[in-house]
This record gives sequence, structure tokens and C-alpha cells, in this order.
Amino acid sequence: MSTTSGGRPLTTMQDRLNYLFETVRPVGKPRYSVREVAEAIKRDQGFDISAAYINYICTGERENPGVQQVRALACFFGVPASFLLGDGDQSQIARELEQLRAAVRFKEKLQAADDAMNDPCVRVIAMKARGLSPSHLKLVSAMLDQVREIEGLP
Amino acid sequence: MRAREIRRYEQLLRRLDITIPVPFDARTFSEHIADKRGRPIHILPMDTSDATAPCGLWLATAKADYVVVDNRAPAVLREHILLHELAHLLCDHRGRLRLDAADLSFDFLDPAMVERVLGRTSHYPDAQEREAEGVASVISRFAARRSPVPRPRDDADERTAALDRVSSALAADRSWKT
Repeated sequence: MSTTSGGRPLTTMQDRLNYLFETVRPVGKPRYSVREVAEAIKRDQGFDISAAYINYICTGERENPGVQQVRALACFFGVPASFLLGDGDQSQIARELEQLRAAVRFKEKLQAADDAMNDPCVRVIAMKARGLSPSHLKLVSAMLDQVREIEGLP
Repeated sequence: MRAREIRRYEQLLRRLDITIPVPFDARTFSEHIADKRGRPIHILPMDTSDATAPCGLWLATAKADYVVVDNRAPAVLREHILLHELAHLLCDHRGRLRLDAADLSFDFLDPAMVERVLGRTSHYPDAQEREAEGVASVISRFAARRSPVPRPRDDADERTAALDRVSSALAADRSWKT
């Protein structure tokens, strides 16, 4: 059994799929809709899965989905199928999902700052170190806060 | 770094006509750059020790340039980071505030998914990083050759700092052109 970094247990298939919906989301949107996921699976994997079927797993109505369905969903969310099945040590994958979640939030913050600072006047910075950790993201956030304060931005 | 690149970076610095202070001091150097460009440069000392390695950041807005320098890194590294970020600014590197899939590396998550979520990877910043690193090291070499006394190792060391100020007053600042 795995847990989220917040300590929430991921006991069931329902928990794990919902967790993937929460952590793997596109920038600027709260989550993928089940319809988007079904369409992407059809398009990218050539596999038919209905939005309703995915929804049944999310609501817990279907506790034991088919192997192919599990594989297709895992593939869409970019995790090994074993994660959805609850097999093995999943803490490392959960940690990466949390990093991804932080990165998506951070990117939204960057875009908001970009707008506030009147793009295209804002130019870049490249980070010196490769591989952004959550602490890097925190650092850039803190920098943006200081800059906004100095410039008297909201 | 190849000789051709070194020459190119030296030409760039000559063209910009930036004064390199003697003895070298990165902060004074940044003030010269700010004067030359007519835009203030704010140096923001921050604790970056949470990050995996000390790092620097540069951000330019319509009004000013901001450079973050780790205030806990050893003085030599801190100076190098500041120079590296100033080099970005001198080279007029630009782009948008960005974070994309290339900035993150995962062991388990599928890179295609990460790219879909965070946006497509763009490669130009690597070239900019190399250029900034090259310019920074050309400046350091120049500074090392012309420095009459060793730079203070630590800001807290008042005596060496005072000595440095005195020698700075004695030796006229040297332009890159000379």
C-alpha cells in the first residue's frame, strides 16, 4: 500500500486513480476530465475505453477494472501499471507525482507573474542547476515575491 | 573552452565597453554594468541552501534587473554565480519565465506525460548557459591577471576588505579596452 506525501493512504483502485487525476494535471486546469482521458487513450493508444467506465473507477462503483483498462490509464498518466494496481513500493512514484504537482503549481505562478510584470518586458533567467527540485521552485517563488515587493506590484 | 570561443567572448566584452574593476570585485563590476546600461541591478542575497546546489537567478523587468546570489555559499562561488548571472545580462539573453519538461528529471514518470502536462521542451537555454559560463570565466581570468592583491576571501574579514578598498583606490579602474 502506498501513501501520498501528505500521508493519505492509497488503499483502493479508486484512491489511486483519483490521486493520479489530482497530481497529473495540465497547467491552468484543475484536472483532466474523464472525457479528455478517454479521448486521449483512444487517440494515442488506439484503445477504446469510455468516459463512463473511467468515471465508475473514480467513484468506486467499479473496484476491479480490466487489465487492459488499467494499463491504458497507467499509460495515460505516465506511471507503471503496478502503481494503479497497488503493487510493490510506490513511495518513490508518489514522491515524483508530488514533485510534478508542485511544478505544475509553480508554472501557474510563473505565468501569473509574467502577466503581472507586463510581458514581454520580463525576460529570463535560466537556472544554473539542472533538474528543478521542489526547493528550487520555492526559491524562485521567493524571488518573485521580493521583486514584486520592490516594484510595488500586486 | 576553445581559443575561438575565448576570443569571441573577449570581443563581446570589448564591444560593450564595460569597465572591469581592479582589483576585481563582482559588486563594483555589477555597478559599472548598471551605469553603462542605465538600469539598476538589484542583488538579492537569499538562502539557496535548500536547493541541491547553490544557484543563481537573473530576472529582468521593465524597470530593473534582479540577480539572486546565495548568501551562504563560499565567497569564491558566490562571486562566480554573480558573474555568471551578469554574463546572461551582458549577452542580452532573453526568453520568458519558463519551466518545462526539460527542467525536471524523473526516474519513474513517463517523460511524454511530463511534457504533455508542463509543455514542450525548448533547447535554446543550454546554448545560453554555455555562453554565460564562457563569458563569466573570461571575465574572471581577466580579473585574476590584473588584480594587484588577492581578493578578500570572506566579507566578514574586515582587514582584508579594508586592504582591498585601499588598493582599489590606488589602482585606477581599468577599462576592458586597455
